[in-house]
Amino acid sequence: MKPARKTTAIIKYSVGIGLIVLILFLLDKTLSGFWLMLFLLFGINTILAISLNITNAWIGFFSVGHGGIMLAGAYAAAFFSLPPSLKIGILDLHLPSFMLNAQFPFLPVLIIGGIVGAVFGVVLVLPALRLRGMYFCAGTLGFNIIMAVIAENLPNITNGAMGLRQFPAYTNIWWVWGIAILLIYITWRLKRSYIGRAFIAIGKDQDLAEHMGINLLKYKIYAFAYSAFFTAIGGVLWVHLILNLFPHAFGLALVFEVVAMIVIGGMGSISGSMIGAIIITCFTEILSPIEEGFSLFGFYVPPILGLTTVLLGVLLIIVLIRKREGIIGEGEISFGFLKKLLRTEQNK
Amino acid sequence: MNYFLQQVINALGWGSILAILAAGYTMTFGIIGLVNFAHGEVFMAGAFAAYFILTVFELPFWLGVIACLAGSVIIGLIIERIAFKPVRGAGLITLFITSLGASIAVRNSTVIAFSDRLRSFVFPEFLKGIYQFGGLMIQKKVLVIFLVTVAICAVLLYLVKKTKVGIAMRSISYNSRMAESLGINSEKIIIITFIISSALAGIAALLWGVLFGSIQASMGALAVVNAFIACVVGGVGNVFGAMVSGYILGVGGALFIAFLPPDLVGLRPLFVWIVFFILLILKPSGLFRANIR
Amino acid sequence: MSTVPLLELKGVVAGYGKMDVINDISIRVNQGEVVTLLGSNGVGKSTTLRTILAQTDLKKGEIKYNGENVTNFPTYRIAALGISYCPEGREIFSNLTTKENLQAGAYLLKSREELEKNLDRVYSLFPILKERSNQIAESLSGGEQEMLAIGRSLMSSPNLMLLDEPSLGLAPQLVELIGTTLREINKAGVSILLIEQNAKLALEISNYGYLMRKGTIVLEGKAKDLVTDERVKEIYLGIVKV
Repeated sequence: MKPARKTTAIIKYSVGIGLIVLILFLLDKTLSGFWLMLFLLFGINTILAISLNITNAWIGFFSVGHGGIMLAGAYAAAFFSLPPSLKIGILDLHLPSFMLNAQFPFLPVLIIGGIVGAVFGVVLVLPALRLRGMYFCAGTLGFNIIMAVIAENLPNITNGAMGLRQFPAYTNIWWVWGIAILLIYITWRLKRSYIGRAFIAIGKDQDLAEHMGINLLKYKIYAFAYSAFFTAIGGVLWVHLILNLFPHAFGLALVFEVVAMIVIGGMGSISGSMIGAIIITCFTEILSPIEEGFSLFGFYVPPILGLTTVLLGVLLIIVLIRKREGIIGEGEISFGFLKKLLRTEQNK
Repeated sequence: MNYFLQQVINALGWGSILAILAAGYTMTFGIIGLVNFAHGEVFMAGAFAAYFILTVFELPFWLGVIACLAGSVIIGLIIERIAFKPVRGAGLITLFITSLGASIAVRNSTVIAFSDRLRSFVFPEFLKGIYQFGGLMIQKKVLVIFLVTVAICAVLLYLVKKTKVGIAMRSISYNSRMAESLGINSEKIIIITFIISSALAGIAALLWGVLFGSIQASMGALAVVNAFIACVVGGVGNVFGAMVSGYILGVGGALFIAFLPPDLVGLRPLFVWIVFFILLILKPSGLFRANIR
Repeated sequence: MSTVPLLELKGVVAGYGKMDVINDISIRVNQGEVVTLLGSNGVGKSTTLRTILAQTDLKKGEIKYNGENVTNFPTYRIAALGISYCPEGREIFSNLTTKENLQAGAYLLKSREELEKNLDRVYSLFPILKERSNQIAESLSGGEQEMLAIGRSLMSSPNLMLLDEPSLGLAPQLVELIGTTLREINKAGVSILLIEQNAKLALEISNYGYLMRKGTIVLEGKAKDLVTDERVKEIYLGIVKV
């Protein structure tokens, strides 16, 4: 690259990063309570949604086992982040002593969680890859159940159904959005790279991709590893935000929510994942009073468990009937799309 | 040896329920290529309908039979019209999502309306009793369930193999466009398949109520997972395969639990997934011939 | 003999989705005739047959059967009119047995006797199918599958048979057998609309022919005239721009 161009690139990147840092700093100082929680959840959901797109949309293997991956990553991280006094003294977990005595800072904890999630993700998906579309999908559903049952039945390691608490409150705006923006950037670059295009080729036509020389198994493993790594990190971030973990923490409702995000936002699109994430995050947070009971004009409405999920299911069906590809569809948000949007508004 | 046989005999009830449920499930599976998660809720609807007629209103047993059939068929058709028909031909992922959405919607609505507590199912007098032979015992209700299931399976197999409707179903499963070219009205046959499939789920639900003595709003979730695996193990769309696999999973699961060391009893739900993964590795297309392309 | 053609397409424009494949197609098949659609690959011959069966998106034009306007009939009603279809690639049901495939073909029949009669007729035309009657159709050879496909389209006692490339990929003796069989079927009163790459075979057994190129009909005429027409060869090979 010519020296002038290189300088321009460096300036662009610095300005970009500087801007992001500034925005995050301001948000960190101003947000609190409900809005902070909303913003953090938006970030975590963005991470989950973008990760899910890699496997479900790009390579076309619709996996719904992300609950199990998050669980694996969260527990692995917990072993290293929980205070030794809890692990040894109170719960008496039968873990290797280096784990029991460890209480690592967040970065290694995240990485460990991510790697464990990736390993589980790849190992458990390997046999299932021989199933076709629909059956692969339903098969991965079992992954959530399997992990939850295992977690529940090894009380000496996981404290069983009682779960784990006393997590250090590591999660904050910087971690969540730092990782989210990193993921957005890497994925955006990936989409333009050979590997990313190989992923998409596999998704469009597997046999053709193979004939073009793409090693299917290798790339499928890469895709699942990448996706599971960040999904598990999402799980670790989550657990260090709400500060407890139990075997059924990442159940069907959560799994379904992430699926809804990518379907509504647009399968395969990074910006679509973000849009899906913000919509679903707002949807669930605003409707959360329903799950807990609330007062309206002096009347007390009792908790209606599961109504949020019901409404989510209905929303999803409506979106699928009206606009099947989701809001953005496959591509990314661009000026062309915005122009089209504005034009239809003007015509009304 | 006796212990082993006794476990097998005890498990025949659960195996029969799975066989009927899976047989119906595999029919819709084959014909529209759909993993219908809402089938569990159709199953549950039949159980609740029978529960209200038999336990709450204490009406005669045969009315309960009609109720369970009516309940599941009606819910099955409603779900089909709302969640599947509008997105027909939209791609399997969309269908999966709508069926998952429908399943969650119906299940959670029922839990909201009726709560997820266990409700005891009335036990009909004529099914009380235990028979003994050799050193083995069989409960009268298990025997009746087993015989009823065998009869239903025989009728179902005849329907699928020998009748015009059965051939039409299997033709549509494989190539619906060509089937239409032969004069087969695929919409009509699909609806018939849904009705039969839902009715079978309703019967299975009634048998569940009789066997376990209680029902709950979330019973569909467990049942549908087992039925799904039975269908895949048996070969998608293959009714005989689904029946056999239902028994394999039911009886196999009971043996698994019986021989499991006591502190690992919580791993019970994993049995079917273990079978599933073994099948995936050895013979992904299923034990018997699948009916789809 | 009725003066109304058995099958008539008038000005038909059709295709798949936004893409139009055939343009302004007008074809006639009279009762008792064998009519051929000729042309090289991709000119829209198969699309024309599929349009008759309502399996494409029809934009303009009409389809009439025995004078009745059937343009908006769904596929299964078209079949119920007495039109049977033997598609390119056979499309037999590989998950059913040979006999079950034939039974599927007889779906529209009302009486058991008629089914048995037609079954016997198909077995006498293609004895090998009787031998393999309880075998899964997937295990049949290419030629046997073609015979099964043709047999299946006979099972409904059709008035009009639509056949798409019946001789594709078959050995010469089989091709001859198919030709003789079609002649026999036609003699028994069944009208045939045939697509064939093998122009010689097609014109030998046909009364009338249409030559298609790029989605339209560029030439038509009595089969015996087309056989000697130089233009047929030229258009086929793309030598003359029409």
